[in-house]
Amino acid sequence: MDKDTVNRIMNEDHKKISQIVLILSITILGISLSTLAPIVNAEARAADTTRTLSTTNPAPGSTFDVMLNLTGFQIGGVVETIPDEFIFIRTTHPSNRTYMTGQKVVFVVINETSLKYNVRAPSEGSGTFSGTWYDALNGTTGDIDGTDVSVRIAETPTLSPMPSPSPTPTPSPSTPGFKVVFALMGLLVYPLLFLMRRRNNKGGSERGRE
Amino acid sequence: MEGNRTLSCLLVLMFLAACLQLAVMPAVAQKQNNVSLDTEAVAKEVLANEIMLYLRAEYLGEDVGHLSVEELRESTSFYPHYPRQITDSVNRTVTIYKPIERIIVLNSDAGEAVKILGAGEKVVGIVDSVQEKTFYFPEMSRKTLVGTWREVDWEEVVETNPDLVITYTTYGAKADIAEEKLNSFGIPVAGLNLYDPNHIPTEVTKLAILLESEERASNYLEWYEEYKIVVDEAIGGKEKPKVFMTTTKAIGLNSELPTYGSGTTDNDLCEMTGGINVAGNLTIKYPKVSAEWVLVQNPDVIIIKVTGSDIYGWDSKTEPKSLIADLQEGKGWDNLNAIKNNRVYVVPWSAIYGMEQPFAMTLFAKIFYPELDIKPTEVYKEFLEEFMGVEYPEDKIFVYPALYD
Repeated sequence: MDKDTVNRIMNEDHKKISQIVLILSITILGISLSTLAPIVNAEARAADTTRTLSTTNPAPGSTFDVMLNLTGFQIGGVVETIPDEFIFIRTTHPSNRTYMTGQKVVFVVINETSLKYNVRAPSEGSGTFSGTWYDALNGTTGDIDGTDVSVRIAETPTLSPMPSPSPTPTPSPSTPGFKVVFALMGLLVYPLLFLMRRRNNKGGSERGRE
Repeated sequence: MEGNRTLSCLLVLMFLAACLQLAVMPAVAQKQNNVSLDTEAVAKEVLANEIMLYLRAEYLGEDVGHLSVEELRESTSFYPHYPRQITDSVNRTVTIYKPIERIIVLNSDAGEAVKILGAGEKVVGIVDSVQEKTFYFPEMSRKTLVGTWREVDWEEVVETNPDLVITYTTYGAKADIAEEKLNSFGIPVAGLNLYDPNHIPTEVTKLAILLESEERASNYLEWYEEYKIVVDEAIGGKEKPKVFMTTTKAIGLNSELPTYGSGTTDNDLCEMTGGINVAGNLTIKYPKVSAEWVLVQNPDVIIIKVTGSDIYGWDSKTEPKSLIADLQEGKGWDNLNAIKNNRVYVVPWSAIYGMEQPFAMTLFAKIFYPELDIKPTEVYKEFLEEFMGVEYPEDKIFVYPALYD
């Protein structure tokens, strides 16, 4: 076998290896990203809570729903302040995790993603629902955007149905150590590949000189 | 080329590792979720209550005691494994918010239980009765001394900074006293009677919840129950012997001989193992009786307890033999059934009461019914080697006279 043949075979082998490496690295990157994504989401997603009212213009004396969507924290609580003259009626949240005094209602949240409560509108008037969320795991708090409500005039009171909130099962604890390491390993693939190719190019020119 | 191969190998390894990760992660997650429904339910209730108190104080301005943000944050990080809560033996609620790392035991029974539950290395403070039991506690006996089992140096306890203090409810440093001294420092106190033959399974179960040692507790209690059943079955339907129990303090006295009335551990143990305690009807818990009173009772068996935390049997027969002779001296007991039939036995106190209960049960049953096919010293050997992690001293005498060859 002459020298050119040997070089040709070696180049073909090298090509195959490069292709395999490329496929592998894409696979690893895919796996890494798939595992990294939830972590990034979980860590980047700040605790947040939004409030939705079944109506912002309730009829006088009617009962309407207030729904809180809880995101970014699993364990903590919410303190809601109901506008003056509006009356907290009930909630489907567990009674031992609900506390009301005056116009404030405290909800302790453990793995729920939403909660609802009913409020009765006064005969007239308006106000703003406000609130605060508390993330016990991170020790952080934040305000819930205010929601204005205004009683409309001359409406027949209606009782809105109150669907149950949807508690979510406790998610499986993640293994961030594993995920981060492998994600970083996956991300390292490209610099490695780049270095490898650069080295190959360099090697080729050296061989070309021979 | 060599570099390329290395890089290729590295990438292949990374690929395999990534695959391994996918395979392993569900198992890891399952293990982390391995918490009983009861534990999770308690954790949920307690944590919710603590968060509620915090929110009420912080946002409603109510004057309620509550955990700090940092304490809540820490406890939440261990949910659903924590918080843990028990009702101790004086009906006090004991709550643990995070894994216990530093324990003070205020009696040797608690020391034994902690060791059996695999938390011996977490003990940071002890009392004299633990310090003296070097045979049981070769490591633990060297920890910080915080007093005696009767008289505790509470300042030393606070300085030792424990996560949990375990004490008796009715003797020595009682739980209510301990709570009074330590409550303001936020140190939890568990009052558990880990010597009481009627309650050991309950007490061990409670302690295991606090120490997150349910599996070890289960192993111990399985062993415990096994011998309880053996004894129960062995003594069933047999004629019960009358038993007089006393201590070495009775030697040289003809009156005021110490014995054990109703409500004592000794009385309970005697009854559990098929004996009739002749002092069991006396209303005083620790009565003192005369030699004549014993003569009238005419017990079939006499048991002499040798007191002292550091007594673990004898190297020869000489001492226990002389104790029996000394006890009888001048009492006019020659006609007692126990004396006539040579049924006076000497046992070391330390090896009888506490978590060694199966040994005590089988020993008493064998003393009362010598024909039983039970070898108490084998039971004690199991206890020492399987649960206490110490070698059984083959040449020691744990009961005299011997019950079998």
